[in-house]
Amino acid sequence: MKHTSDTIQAPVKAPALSLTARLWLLFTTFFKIALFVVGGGLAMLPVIEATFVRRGLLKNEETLDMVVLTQTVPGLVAANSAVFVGTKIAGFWGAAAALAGAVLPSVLIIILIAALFPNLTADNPAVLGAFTGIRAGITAVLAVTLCRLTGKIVKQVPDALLAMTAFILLLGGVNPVFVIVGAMPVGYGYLLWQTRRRLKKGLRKDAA
Amino acid sequence: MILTTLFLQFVGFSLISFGGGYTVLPVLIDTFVTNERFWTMDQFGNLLSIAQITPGPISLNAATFIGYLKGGMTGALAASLGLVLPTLFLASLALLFLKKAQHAIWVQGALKGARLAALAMVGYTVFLFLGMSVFEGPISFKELGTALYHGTVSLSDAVHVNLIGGICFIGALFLILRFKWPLTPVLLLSAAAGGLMGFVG
Repeated sequence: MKHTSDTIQAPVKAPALSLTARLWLLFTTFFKIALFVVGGGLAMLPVIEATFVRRGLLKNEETLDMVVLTQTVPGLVAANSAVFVGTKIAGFWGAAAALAGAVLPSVLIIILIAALFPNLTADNPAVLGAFTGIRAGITAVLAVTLCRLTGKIVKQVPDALLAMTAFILLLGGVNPVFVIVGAMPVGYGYLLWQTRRRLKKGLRKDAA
Repeated sequence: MILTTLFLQFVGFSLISFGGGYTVLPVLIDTFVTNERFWTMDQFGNLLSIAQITPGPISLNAATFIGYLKGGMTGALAASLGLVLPTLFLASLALLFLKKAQHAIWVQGALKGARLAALAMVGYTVFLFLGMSVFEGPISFKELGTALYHGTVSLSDAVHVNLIGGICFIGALFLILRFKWPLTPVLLLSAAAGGLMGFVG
C-alpha cells in the first residue's frame, strides 16, 4: 500500500501548459469523467488526482477542498467539482470549460434515450453485470484513494478523532452539509488550541 | 413560456440541492408526481432506472428527460442549464471569497476541520459504493452486530455478497496495488468482466 501511494502521488515534471491547452484538458477530462465514471459524486476523485495532481496543476489537499465546496455550495457534486478544478487551473473560463465537459455527455445521451425509447427499463443481465463491474472497480480505486488521503492529512490523534466522529455521524444519517459545516468551528477551535500549546512550549523552552 | 418555466423551476431545484443531486429527488417527486401529475410513480421509477444505467448525475438525467418530454430539444437544454448554471456562479463566488480570505486564521481553522470531515465523506462514499457493488444493498450494522455477538442471525443473513461485484472489486484492487494499473483500463476490464459474468450467469 505504502509503495503504491508513493508512486501514484509523485508529481510528474511537466512543461507549463498554455491557456488553450489547459482549457482543452479540463473539457476533455470532465467529459471523460462524465462518460465513464458511473455512480457520480465523489467517484471522480481518483480521476482528478490522476489527471491534475500528477501534472502538478492541483495540490493533493486541494482535492479535499473540492469535497468541502461540493458539500457547502448547492448544486450537483459533478458541477461543483468541475467549477472548482476549472477555476483553480484556468480561472472563470476554465470553470466554464470543465462544467461544459461535465454536463454535455449525459445531456446528449439522455436526449437520445428520451427521443428513442421513452419507456426503457434495464433488465438485460449483461448490461446490469457491466454496471456492477464498473461500480466495483470504482469502489476499489476509491478505497485506495481514501488510504492515500488519510496518510496525507491525518497527522495527529485529534485529526483521526475528528474524522472518525464525522464518519460515524454520516453513517448515522446526519446530513453531510451539517457535518461539514459543523466541522468548521471545531477545526477553528482545534487550531487555536494547537497554536496556544505550541506558543507555551516555545516560551518554556526560552525560559530554560 | 414553457422554456422559461422549465429553466426557472430547475434553477430553484439547483439552489436547494446541498451536497449533491440525490437531495433533489424527493422534491422532483413532489413537483412532477404529486402536484403536476406529469408522471405516475411507476413512470418516475422507470426514469430513475434509466438514469442509473446511464452516465451522469441522476438529477441531471431527470432534468434532461423531463425537459425533453415537456419542450423537446430546447426544453431539455433549458432544464439542464437551469440545474447547472447557478453552480457556475455560486461556486466561483465562493472560491473568490476563499482566495481573498485564505490567510485569516479562522478560515484556516475552518478549512482544517472541513477537510477532515471531507475525508470522512470519502470514507462514507466508499461505504455506500460497497453497498452498490460488492454487497447487495447497504450494509446493516445492526444486523451485522446481532449476527456476530449473539449468533441468532447467521452472517449470511446479514450480509449479501454480490458475486459479480465481489470478484470485480478484488480483481481491481489486485491490479491497482500489485501491477499499478491506471484507472481507465481497470474500469474497462471490470465492465467487461461484469458484463460477461452477467451474460453467462
